[in-house]
Amino acid sequence: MKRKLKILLLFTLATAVFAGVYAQDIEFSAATKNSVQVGEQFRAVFTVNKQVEGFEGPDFEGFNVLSGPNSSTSQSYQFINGKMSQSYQVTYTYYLQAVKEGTFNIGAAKVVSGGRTYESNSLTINVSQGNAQQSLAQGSQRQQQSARQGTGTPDKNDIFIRAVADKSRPYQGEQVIVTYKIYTTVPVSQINISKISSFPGFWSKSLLNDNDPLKQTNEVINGKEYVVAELRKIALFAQRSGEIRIEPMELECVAQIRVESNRARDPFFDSFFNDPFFNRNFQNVELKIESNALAIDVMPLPSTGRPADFSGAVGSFTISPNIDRTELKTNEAISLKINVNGKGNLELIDAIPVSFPPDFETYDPKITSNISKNAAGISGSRTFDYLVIPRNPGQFEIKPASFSFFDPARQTYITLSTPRYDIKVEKGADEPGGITYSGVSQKNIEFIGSDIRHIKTGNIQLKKTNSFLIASTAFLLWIIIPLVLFSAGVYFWSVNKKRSGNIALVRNRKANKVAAKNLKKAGEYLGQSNTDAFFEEISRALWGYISNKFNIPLSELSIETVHQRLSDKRISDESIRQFTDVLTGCEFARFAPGDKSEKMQGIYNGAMEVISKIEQELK
Amino acid sequence: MKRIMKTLAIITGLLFAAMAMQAQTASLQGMVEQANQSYSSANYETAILEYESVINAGYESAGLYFNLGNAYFKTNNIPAAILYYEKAGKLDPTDESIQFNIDLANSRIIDKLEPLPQFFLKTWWKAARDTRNSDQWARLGIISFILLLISAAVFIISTTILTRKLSFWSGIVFLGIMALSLIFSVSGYNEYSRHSSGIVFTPTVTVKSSPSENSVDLFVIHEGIKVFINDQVEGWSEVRLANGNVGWIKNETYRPI
Repeated sequence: MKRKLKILLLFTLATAVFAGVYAQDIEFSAATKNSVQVGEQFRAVFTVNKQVEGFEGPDFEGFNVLSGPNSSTSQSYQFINGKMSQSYQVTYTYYLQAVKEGTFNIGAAKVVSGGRTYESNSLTINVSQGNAQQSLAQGSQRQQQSARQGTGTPDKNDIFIRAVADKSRPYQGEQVIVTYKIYTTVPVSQINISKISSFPGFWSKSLLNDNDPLKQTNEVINGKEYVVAELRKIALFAQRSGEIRIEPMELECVAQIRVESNRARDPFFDSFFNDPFFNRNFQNVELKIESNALAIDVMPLPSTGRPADFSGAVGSFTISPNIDRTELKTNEAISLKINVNGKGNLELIDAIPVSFPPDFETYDPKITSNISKNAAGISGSRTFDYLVIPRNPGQFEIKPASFSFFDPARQTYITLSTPRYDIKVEKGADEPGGITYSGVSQKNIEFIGSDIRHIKTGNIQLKKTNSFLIASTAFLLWIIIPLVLFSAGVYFWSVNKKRSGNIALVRNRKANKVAAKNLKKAGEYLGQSNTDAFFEEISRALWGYISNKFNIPLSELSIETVHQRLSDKRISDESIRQFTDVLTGCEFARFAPGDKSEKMQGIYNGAMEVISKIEQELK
Repeated sequence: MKRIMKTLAIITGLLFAAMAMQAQTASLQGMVEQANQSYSSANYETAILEYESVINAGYESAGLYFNLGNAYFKTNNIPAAILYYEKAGKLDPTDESIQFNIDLANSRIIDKLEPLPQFFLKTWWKAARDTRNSDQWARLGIISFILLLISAAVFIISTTILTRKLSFWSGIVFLGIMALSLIFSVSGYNEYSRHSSGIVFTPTVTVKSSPSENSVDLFVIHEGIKVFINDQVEGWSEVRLANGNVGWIKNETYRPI
């Protein structure tokens, strides 16, 4: 417990010290008049010596806020005897009007810098009843200061600014470094850049930090020794081609200029007062100087040989891809880092498109830039970190991704590509291993694009337009010729059959008809009780049937031959016996004397039955 | 002797004509192959010209129309693509690729129609007919006709009842098949030669209520849409859309399939 307390104490102490250190850096103060009269308009100024993120003004109770907060930034450099110092200031100004008498307290204003909040001092204002018609004639302090403006003016050659571009005909996207240098032979202080050049059509990046001390060199031009300092150094990248004019930079400064003394009465005194230490003949002169304008002729990038994936990168780069693993389990992540390193418009490089297998879950790449600026321009690296998660096992392939840029030094396009990665994804262990598959979600096949089916490349059977088999003579011929052949065939067949006297077939087919005819006649005789005729017809029907059916000449007919023929035709013994019984019964009745009328019906039925039975068995 | 010479001359003449025709189809076949190559190397404009030269020579085939449709599709001429796909589909209603491309091309046109449901017997009839093209049906008809004759011959000649029965019933079946095939064949041929439908080629067409410029504007259709032609009067056609709407448009706004 004690230990914990100690740590806590230490920690609070550390933060306090840190805060103290930090707070020392920032000076945030408020200033205004201590006493005003009712109706008087005056200013309240909050000054901070650092760039801050947020400003929150106090509550001006008892005053009318006429306008504000109006912020203005000023930056100044001083050269005194070749030594330079600089300051940075942001002021927030309110214009207030006192409304009533009394003593008023204005609370502290707040600013935020580096995540911390700083408070200004609070103000106390005494408002007295007085002449209400006080004007805002105060004017700025600078005006009062510059009232001291002297009569002497410095020579144009004593102090000037030059804007220099390191290239006059760059390619679109190529880096151009523009440097603004001040050349002076006299001490200069309070350099205030009042108008900074705008760079239309350029993407610009300042190469000098605001708080860096100015680098000074000495240069001799036309026998005069100048102190030279780089005020601004800017890397520019043209966004379009054509001639682009950069407007001049303007600045105000105070130069100390030696003025020839007019009151030199006494050489002794004169020489005495000419001593620099005492000399009062230096005059502070406020100056406005302007740099030259620059014209930059931006050449378009050559259109020949431009790779399809070129997206505007100009400079000289190398890429170093790095994949953390190529063998993994499902639902684990792969991180593919592509690092673009080199000089040029790095910050304008878009993410390199990498085509991951469509089955992978992909995320937008994380882009980190590590850009350093120095006198030679912008260089560094830009890293694209692609995170993908394979959701299904299998063998996959990450196709090579390519990055193209234009190298102005070699005046060609250069394409760099990453290697091909083969990814082996195994089934992760966390997936249910075949135990419960009922809840497994299925996926539809994802269509990546839609296109028409490819043309038919096989042998294309051409045919005459509008030629149809159904409407052609060929079709008619196909119908007529077989029909003619058929008719002719049938005709010749029947003629031939008759000619060859193949009566057997005819008789075979006639057998039933003849037998039926005889039996019908017999039936009629049965009705008339004409016994002789009846038995004769039955006999004829039976013998005739056998004779016709099996093509046996009547002369050869006997019970034996009938028996044999029927057996040959695989007629059952029972039917054969029945047939012979009917036949012998009929013959017996025909030639035996006595009354045979009662037998007629039995024989008629028997004959009918046996013929149909044999017919059945013959099938 | 003279007669023999005459027949010989006729036969040789016929032979030469057949050979010339053979040579012509062979050269056109080569042209189709060349067009296929142009298509494969993405020279779609050239491919179109080459395919069309074959069609202008008076030949056609489902594959040829299909490939030409594809070439038009690739040059983004969707109405022409649909026209040739439809022509291909008419010649070969069974091809699934043709139907696929028709559907895909139809998804690229402006008008989207909900087709009217047709009477189910009509749909069945068409579906049955379109399992084969007219020539295939005609061939099937011829084959079943010959089989019918064979069955009849067997029926006449055969002595046993079994073969007679068999030949009789098979004859009936072949007769049925022949009748249906010939009906389908004629129906397919009629559908083809009637040019009963068309594809609109004018980008925007106002459909009128009667065949006159002064008549009431009914609705507006756009290029690529398929219309069925009911009637034609003096440069105007009465058309019906797949969704059942009927109106009159000028003949030059569409091209018959």
